Amino acid sequence: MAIAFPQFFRHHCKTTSGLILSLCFVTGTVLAQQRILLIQSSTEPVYAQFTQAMREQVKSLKIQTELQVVTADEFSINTSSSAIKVDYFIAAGVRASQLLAGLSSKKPQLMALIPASLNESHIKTNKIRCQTGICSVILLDQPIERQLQLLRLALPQHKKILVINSPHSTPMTAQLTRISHQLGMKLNYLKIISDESLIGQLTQELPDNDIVLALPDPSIYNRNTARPILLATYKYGVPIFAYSQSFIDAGASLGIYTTPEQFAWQCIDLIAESQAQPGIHWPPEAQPKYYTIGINSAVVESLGIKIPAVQYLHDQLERILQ
Amino acid sequence: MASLLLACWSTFHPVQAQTAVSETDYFATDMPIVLSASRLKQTAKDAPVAITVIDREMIEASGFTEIPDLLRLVPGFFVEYDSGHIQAAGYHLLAGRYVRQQQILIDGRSVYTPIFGGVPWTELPITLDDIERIEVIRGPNAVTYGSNSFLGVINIITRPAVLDHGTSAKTNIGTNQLREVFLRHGDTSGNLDYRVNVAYRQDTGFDDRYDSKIVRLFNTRLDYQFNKHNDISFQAGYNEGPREEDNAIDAEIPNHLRTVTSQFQQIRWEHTSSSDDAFHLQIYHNLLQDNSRYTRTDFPITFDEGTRSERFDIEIQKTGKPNDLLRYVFGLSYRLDRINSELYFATTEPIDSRFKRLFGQVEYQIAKNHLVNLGLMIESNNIIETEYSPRLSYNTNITSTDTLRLTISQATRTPVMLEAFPDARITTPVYDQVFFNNGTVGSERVTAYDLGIIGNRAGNNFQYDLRLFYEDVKGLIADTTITPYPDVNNEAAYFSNLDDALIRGAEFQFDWRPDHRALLHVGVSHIEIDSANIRADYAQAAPVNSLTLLGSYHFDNGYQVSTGVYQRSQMAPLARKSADPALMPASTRVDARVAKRLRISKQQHTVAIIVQNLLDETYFSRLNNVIDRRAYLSYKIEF
Repeated sequence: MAIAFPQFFRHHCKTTSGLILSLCFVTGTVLAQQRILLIQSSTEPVYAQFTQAMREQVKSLKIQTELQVVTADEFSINTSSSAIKVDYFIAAGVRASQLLAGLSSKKPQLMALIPASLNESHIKTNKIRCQTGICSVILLDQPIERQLQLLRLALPQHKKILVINSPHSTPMTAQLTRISHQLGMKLNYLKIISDESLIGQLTQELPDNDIVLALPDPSIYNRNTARPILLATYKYGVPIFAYSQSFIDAGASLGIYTTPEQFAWQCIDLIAESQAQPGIHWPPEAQPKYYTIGINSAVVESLGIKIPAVQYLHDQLERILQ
Repeated sequence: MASLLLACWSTFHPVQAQTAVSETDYFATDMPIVLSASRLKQTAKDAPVAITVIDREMIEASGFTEIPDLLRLVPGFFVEYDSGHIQAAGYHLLAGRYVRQQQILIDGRSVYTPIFGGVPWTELPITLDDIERIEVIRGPNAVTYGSNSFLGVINIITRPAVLDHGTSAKTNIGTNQLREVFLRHGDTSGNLDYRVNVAYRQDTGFDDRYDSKIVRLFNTRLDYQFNKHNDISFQAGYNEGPREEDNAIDAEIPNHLRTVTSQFQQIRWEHTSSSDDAFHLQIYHNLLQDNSRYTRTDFPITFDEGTRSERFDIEIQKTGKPNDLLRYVFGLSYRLDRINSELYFATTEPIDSRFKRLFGQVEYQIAKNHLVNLGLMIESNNIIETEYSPRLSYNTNITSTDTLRLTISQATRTPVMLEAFPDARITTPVYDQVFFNNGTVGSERVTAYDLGIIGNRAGNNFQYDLRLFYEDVKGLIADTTITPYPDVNNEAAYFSNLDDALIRGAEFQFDWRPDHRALLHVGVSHIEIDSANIRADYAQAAPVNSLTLLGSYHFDNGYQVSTGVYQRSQMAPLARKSADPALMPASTRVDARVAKRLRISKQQHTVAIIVQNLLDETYFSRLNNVIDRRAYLSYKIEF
C-alpha cells in the first residue's frame, strides 16, 4: 500500500500548463524553445524511471522545452558538443553530478539523487555555482523530522527507537537525537562491534526497543542481511521503519521514501520557477519535496499493530510540517 | 570454513565494509521479499478459526523436554503417556496412543502416520530447540489441510536457517537417567543459509516399566535465495534408536526391544511477488520403519509387528490479494501413502493409498469491519469416495479492539490403513482372532459451530480469545467384534462407524506480555461430551475442566524464573469398552524453571534447573504410569 500524493496536483499542473500553451498558440505568441540536457549516471532502472518521468513532465512546462538525455558515458565523450545551446543541466546520480561539476558552464544545474553523506565533498567541488543560486543539489535523504513525525503519527506507542549505527549514519546522530528528544522519543543506537555478528547484537537489543528505524546504509541493509534482519525483528515483534518501497515489500512494516518520478517532478518544479522568474535563486541543497508513505499491511496485521490510513498520515504530516 | 566465516563477518561488519552509500542503495531494489504470507503468523482477528500460538519464549519458559508436552499450553489439549516413549496429545478426544482426530504438520509436512494414525512423537526427526513456534488451530480445518484436520491442527514451524548462525551445544541431565546432548551449527555462504543438528537422547521412562528410549537424531536445513522473488528450502532428517517394550498391554508379551528409524526429505520452492502474493511447490517424503519381534511367554509363537510406511506428497499453492478487499488461496496436491506389514495386512506386498486434493479459500471484506471467509476442500482417495469439506466464517469488529467470529465447518477423517484394509489372523493354541474388512467403514464426520470473541488491550500486549464450540461428530470408528465367527475360535473383528459424539464447551485463553520481561499465558477449558458410548467411553475422553498457566519473568541480573501449572479434572483415554477404561483421577502438575544467562567473552551461557511436578503430587497416567517429581539440569553454550 503506497500512495504518491502529489500525482493529483501534478495532474492539475499539467492540465493548467496545457491550457496556457493552448492559449499562447491561440494568441499567436511564439515562445522561445529551451533545452534541458539530462545526464543519467547509468541506464539502471532508477535513472530510467527518473528520465521517463522527466520526459512526461517536461511537457508541462510553460515554455516549450526540449529534453535531451545522455548517459554519463556518452556525456564524457561528447562533453563539448552536448553542452552547446543547453539552458539547464540536470544530473541524475552521483556519477553524472561529478561530471557536471567539472563542466565549465554558467547555465543552471540540478543534481538529483544525491546521498546526503556524499554531498559534503560534492558541494565543495560545486561551491561557486551553487552559491550563485543556479545550482541545486537535491538530496535523496528524507528529512529526519519528517521521518520521526511520521513514525510518531503512525505508531504513537512505539517510542523506543533502535538505530543501527554505522559510519554512514553517524553524521545524522546529533540531529536524530535532538529531534527525537523533542518528540518525546527515546533513541537507542546499536553500534556494531567488529567481532560479533549484526544479528547476534540485534537480537539482544530488540526486546528493549519498540521499532527499528532503518537508515540507508549498504553495509547494514543489503540483499544478504535483509533476510536475517527482517526475520529477527519479526520474531521479536518489532516493526521496521524503512526508507524504500523495496524494503517495505521485503517485510518492513512502513516507511517513507521519494520515488525517482517524484524527484523528476521536483526538478521540473525548479525549472518551471526559473523559467517564470529567470533571476530566481535555487537553494544550494534541497530535500526531497515529494514523498510516498508505504505500509506493508500483511506484515502490520501479522504483528498485530494498527497504523492509520496512508491518506490520514499524509494529511497530518503535511499539517505538522507546515 | 574459515573463508565462509570471513565472508559472513565482512558482510555484517560495517566498519570493515568498503561500500560507500550510493543512490541505488536508497531504493534497495535488490532486496528479497522475506516476510511473505507463508512466513507470517496467522492473525487471530481475521482468522476463520481459533488459534493458539506457542512461541519460542513460551517453549523455553515451559522447561519441557518433549514436544507433545508443549500442547499442554493449549486450552482443550490433553497430554498423556502410554509409555516413556509413546505420548498421546489429543484435542477434545484423547484416544489412547493413537489420536487420529487431528492433523500435525512440520513446516507443511504431514507426519500423521498412515497405518495406525496419530503422531509418532518420539520418532519425529526434529528437536524441541528447532521449533520457532507452534500454531495450533482449535477446531476443524480440513478445508486447508484435508481429512484428519478433524478437531484440530498442529502446525510446527521450525526456525529459518538464517537465524541459527553460529555454533551451540546443549545438554540436559536429570532424573530417570535423562541424558540429552544437542549440537548445532549454522552459517551462511553467499545466498545459502544452512543449519546442521545432531542430537542424542535417552531416558529410562517410567518407574517399574521397561520403557526406556534412546534417540539418535540428525537434521539439516538449507535455505537458498535465488533472487529477489525466489527461494528454495531443503530439509532432511533422520531419527533412530531402540525403544523398550513391556507387557503393560498384554501380560504374555515379554520385554523386548523395538528399533525404529524415521527419515524425511523435503524441498520447497517459493516464488513471492509481494507479501500477499506467493506461489509454492512442495515435495516431501517420509519414511517410518518399525522393527519389533517377540515370542510370547505362554507359547512359543513369534510375532513380527514390524511395519514400514512411506509418504510421498507434492503440493502447489497460490496465495494472492488482488485488492484490499479480497484475499485468496488455492492449490492442489497429490499424496501416496505406501505401507508394508505382513502381520496386519496378510501380505508382504506394499499397499497404497492415494489422495488427490483440490482446495481453495476466499476472504472478502463485505463492508468495513465485516469479513467473510469461504472455503472448500475436495478430496478423493482409494479408501473413500470423493469428500467435500466446506467452511464459512464471518468476522466482525464489534469494537476497535474486539472481534466476533462465527464459523460453521465440516470435516472428515478418512480411515487409516488399518481401519480400511485390515487382514490379520492371530492364531495361538489358546487364542484365535481375526481382523477383516467387511467393507462398511466410512469416514468420520464432524459439523462444527464456533463462536469466538478475540481482542486485545494495552497496545496488543494483552490478547484474549474466547471460543464456544459445538461439534457434532458422526461415525466414530471403532472395532466391532463378532462372536462366534465361522472358523474362528475366539472373535473376529472389523472396523465400522459405531459411535456419535456431541462435544460442547468453551475455551478461554489470554496472553499478557506487559513488556519483554514478563509473560503470563492462561488457558481454561470446559468440555462436555454426550455419546451413546456403544463401543468406547467417549463421554470421558476429555476432562470436563482444565486449566493451564505459564508465567515467566526476566530479571535484570540475567535470571529468568518461570512456572507452569497444568490442571485437569478426571478423564479416561479412549479404550475398548471391554478393556480397562483406565480412569485417570484429577491431577495438578506444577513445573518450575530457574535459568541464568550470562555472557562471557563472545559466548552466551545458559544454565537452568527445571523441576517437573514440583509438588510431587503423584498422579496416574494411562496404563497406571506414575508421574512423580522429576528434575534436570540444563546447560547451553552459544558462540
